[in-house]
Amino acid sequence: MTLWLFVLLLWLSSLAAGFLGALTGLGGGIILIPLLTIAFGVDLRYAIGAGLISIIAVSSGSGAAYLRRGLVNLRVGMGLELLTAVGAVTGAYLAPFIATRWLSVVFGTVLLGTVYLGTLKHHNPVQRLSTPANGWVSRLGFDSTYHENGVPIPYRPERAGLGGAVMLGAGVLSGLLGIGAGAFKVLAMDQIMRLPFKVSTTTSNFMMGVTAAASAGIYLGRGYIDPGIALPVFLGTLPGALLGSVVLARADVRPLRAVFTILVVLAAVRMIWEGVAGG
Amino acid sequence: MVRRHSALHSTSTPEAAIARLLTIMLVVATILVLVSGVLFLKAEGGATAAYESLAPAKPELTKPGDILRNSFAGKPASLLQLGVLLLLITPLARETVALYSMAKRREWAFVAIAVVVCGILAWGLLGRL
Repeated sequence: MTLWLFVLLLWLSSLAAGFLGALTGLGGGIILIPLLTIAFGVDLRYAIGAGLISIIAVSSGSGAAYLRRGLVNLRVGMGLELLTAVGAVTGAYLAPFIATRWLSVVFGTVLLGTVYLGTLKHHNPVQRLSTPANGWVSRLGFDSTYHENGVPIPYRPERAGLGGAVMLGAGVLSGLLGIGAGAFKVLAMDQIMRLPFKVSTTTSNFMMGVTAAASAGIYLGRGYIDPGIALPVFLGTLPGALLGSVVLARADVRPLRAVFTILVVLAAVRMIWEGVAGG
Repeated sequence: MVRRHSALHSTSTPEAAIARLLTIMLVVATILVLVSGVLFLKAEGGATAAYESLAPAKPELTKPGDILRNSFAGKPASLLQLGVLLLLITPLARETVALYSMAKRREWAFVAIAVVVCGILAWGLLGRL
């Protein structure tokens, strides 16, 4: 295949990956990486570099919109970014010590975990200002207010320590695999810290750029980020994701999500199988 | 509460400053990648795409200093990588604005956090100049 054709096909695929990632809530990186390795036959390490490019593009693009709408909890995001960044650097330094086939197994397992976490019930936002603020929540002033249909809803996070520990792990996965690990970030904020779901997803998205950039520099130095792959991935995932978030607000995506979940599970099983079989 | 809501849309909050910066950097990176991408494909588009296994790292595509020098020398691949590097720096620029905003509000705990995060990002991205 010539580079021209490769770039064109990968651009179309990135557009689709960004669109489906936003629509299904799985994220662009987690779709793009199996697509690159399985359909395009690209080395997993180039795919990891491509994943980081797509995450930073989408995080910067949608983060701006969410910030303007006042959904992101900047203090929680900044505080937890410290842990995801440390985790991401750790993951990036661990990666060369793990054989590519075992990275593939880890990726497949994380893919299954992401699908499972997507099926969990969201924490319903309730006013929890009556609960006493203690520990990091009060020290760092994590209380905030967001607006739903113009109505201000105040909230108070809890268990920031445990949430932070899960964030550190999400950072390691991000640095190791080139994914945003958004499902794990949302797990920490929505299920553990009991932030409203909308705040959790938008803050997770906002944080992803910093998490990905922490390992991207290391991967750039190793030559994992190639211009021929970065070009179509950057120019494809960003408009795809922005389009996906527009459609998401207007359409019932449950049937699509169900079909797509099956495809992702199949991709995950294949990656695990190839790794174990010596792929 | 109403006052706080409207403040989110003014230009003085850290949220608004960061949102503006993200948009500007993303637009510049997109234009640079688009233009250099066309030049890159004109120069190397006929070659065979070989990504089945990882190639040894080339300095003109991996070291920020070399990327910059080769971009000015007119190498399309390096110019394209410069656009990618600009994208990778976006979160660092964002964190720097956050740092500045928190310092202005005398939120020292967040200033300390942002300094460490900026350090990690700068070291990873630009440390090998």
